[in-house]
Amino acid sequence: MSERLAAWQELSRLTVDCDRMDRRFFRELLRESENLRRAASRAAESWPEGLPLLQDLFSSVFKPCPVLKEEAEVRPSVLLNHAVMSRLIGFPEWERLRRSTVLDRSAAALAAAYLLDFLLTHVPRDPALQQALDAGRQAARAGQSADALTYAVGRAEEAAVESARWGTAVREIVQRQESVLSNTVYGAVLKARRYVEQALDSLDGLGVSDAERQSMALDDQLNLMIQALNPNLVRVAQLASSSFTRTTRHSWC
Amino acid sequence: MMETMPKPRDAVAAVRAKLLALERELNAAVYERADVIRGMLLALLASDEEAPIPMVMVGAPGTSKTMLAEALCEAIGATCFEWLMNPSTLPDEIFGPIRTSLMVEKDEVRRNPKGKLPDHAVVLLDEIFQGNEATLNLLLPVLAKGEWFNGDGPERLPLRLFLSATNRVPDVSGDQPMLAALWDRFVLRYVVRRIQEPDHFRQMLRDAAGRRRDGVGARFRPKTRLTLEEIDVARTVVRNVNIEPALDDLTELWRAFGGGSEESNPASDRRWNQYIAVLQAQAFLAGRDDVVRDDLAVLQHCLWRTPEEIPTVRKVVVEFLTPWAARLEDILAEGQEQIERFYRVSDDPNQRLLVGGEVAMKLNSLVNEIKTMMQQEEARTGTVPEELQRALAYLTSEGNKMYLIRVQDQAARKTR
Repeated sequence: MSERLAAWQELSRLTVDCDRMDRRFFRELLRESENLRRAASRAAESWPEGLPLLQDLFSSVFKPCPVLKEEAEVRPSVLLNHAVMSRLIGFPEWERLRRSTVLDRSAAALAAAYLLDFLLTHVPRDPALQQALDAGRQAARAGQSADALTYAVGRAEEAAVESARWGTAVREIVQRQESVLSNTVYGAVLKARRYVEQALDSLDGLGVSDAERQSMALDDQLNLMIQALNPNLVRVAQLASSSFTRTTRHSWC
Repeated sequence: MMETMPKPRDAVAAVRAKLLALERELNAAVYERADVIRGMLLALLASDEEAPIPMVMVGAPGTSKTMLAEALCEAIGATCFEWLMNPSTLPDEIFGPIRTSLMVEKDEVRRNPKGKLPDHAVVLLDEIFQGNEATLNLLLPVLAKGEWFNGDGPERLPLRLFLSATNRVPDVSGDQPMLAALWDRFVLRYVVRRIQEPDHFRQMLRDAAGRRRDGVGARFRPKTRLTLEEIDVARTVVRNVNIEPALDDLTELWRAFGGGSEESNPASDRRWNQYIAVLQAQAFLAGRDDVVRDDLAVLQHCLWRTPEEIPTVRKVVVEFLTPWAARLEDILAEGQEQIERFYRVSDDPNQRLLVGGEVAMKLNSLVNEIKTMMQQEEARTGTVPEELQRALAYLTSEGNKMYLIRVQDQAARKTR
């Protein structure tokens, strides 16, 4: 493999810096939660590099000290993700959201799923951002070819160059549509903060403590929080008093 | 002064001590062959008159296979029938010529085995799979039942140990299906590689020069000596080693390999039965009257059928015996990554405080995971493996060092 290709393959598909433990932790979360798997599957269908975006969103609200990578450190196919994440972490609302989510895996998962859902719904509605999505898809496709053609160096390099070209297109569109993207991301983080805070407040009002909630299986926690936003609080009370599955988990928090 | 007659148990212990001394001597003389040397001792102890436990060594020429076999032979005072097989090797060369006088006078077809395989306690057939069909067919009952056919019926052999060496494993599922039955008879299968460690290689050359200087030649002559009678005493004890304590574990391992599935389980029921003798011998050498779970490690040298299966078989056996081993490797890698991450930002106390909090939390979770593994192992086996203790000590001490740095950072920040 040429050095150039090797360097290209070193580029990350995650825009938030993650170590082995973070990656393992997220894999375990996906394995454990049907809700998260559904979100990941929807993201994979309608967003180029949707699964890495979900992980980035989760890391950004869960990790105590998330660090956004430089643009030059990530694959061209995730430049749209990078654009989203770099705007997200610039908003004070993001810091406010993190007050409820850092090291709380269900609150962070709920926030990440909400942010993702918002982006998947709103970004394609704007024709300009739709173009960025399309260019991102092309970059991802070319990137996959480059990975698959590792042993055909010349063709793999061609694919990597093509991926980079599409990445440049994403960057240009994002720059042109700066305000549209910023507004969309701001809307996402603002609503996500309210959504998560309301869910946690409702549970608090029902007498479900954080410690009690966090001892439940992840999906039970997520379902409980989603139900807590439902006006039919009786149902919530029933859920809260039913016997939830307790889990033994090896996380890093 | 009259010597006290050794008690039977003492006699057995003395034989075991001699066998272990021989093992140490061979290991000191030949580097990186500990598994093979142990395998030869197991084959010697596990074999019965009626049920030999043949062993095959797979490896390139010049990897000490023959030398080890010869050294073992010399140590146990046995004569060794050693033959290099090739496609033109005749049955006469292995079993002796047919006695023409008997054929003419009495119309009997009998061989004269003097000086041939049936006349020896130890057999070493080099490149056995190169032999022709006629010769190999005659070898099958030798391997299977320790007998050979001479004239009208089978005759018992004085065989104590059957060893074989080969450059490569026969392709029994491809173009050599006729060798399948023969290959299946080798209960113990060891791969012998060239020396890998540079230090061992250097020492090997130095030893060779020493032997040249002393004029002792390339052949290694062990000082430890045993008799065939002593070996027979040990074999009687081996036969009585209790396998009950390991039956559950054996059944579990059998299931891990696919249980009764002919496709996935690499060993037939007959082979699993033969493994009992190997495990009993392993327990005997460990000084135990019972086979225990740890003895099952030796089965990684019994269960594979093709060289491609070796890593998988090894993995299944190792993971079965030490279910925590693979995870511990990951834990240490994860911990190391955290430690390096902390020291990467060591020039910036503010960054260090931020990153340090997360790193400390992660290290703490790894430490807790190791503690859980230790508790589980202690409950399961009664002991805590050293590897787990070392890993715990390492991560705890690194975590403490980082904690002190962070405390100093915080103090410095307050002062500022």
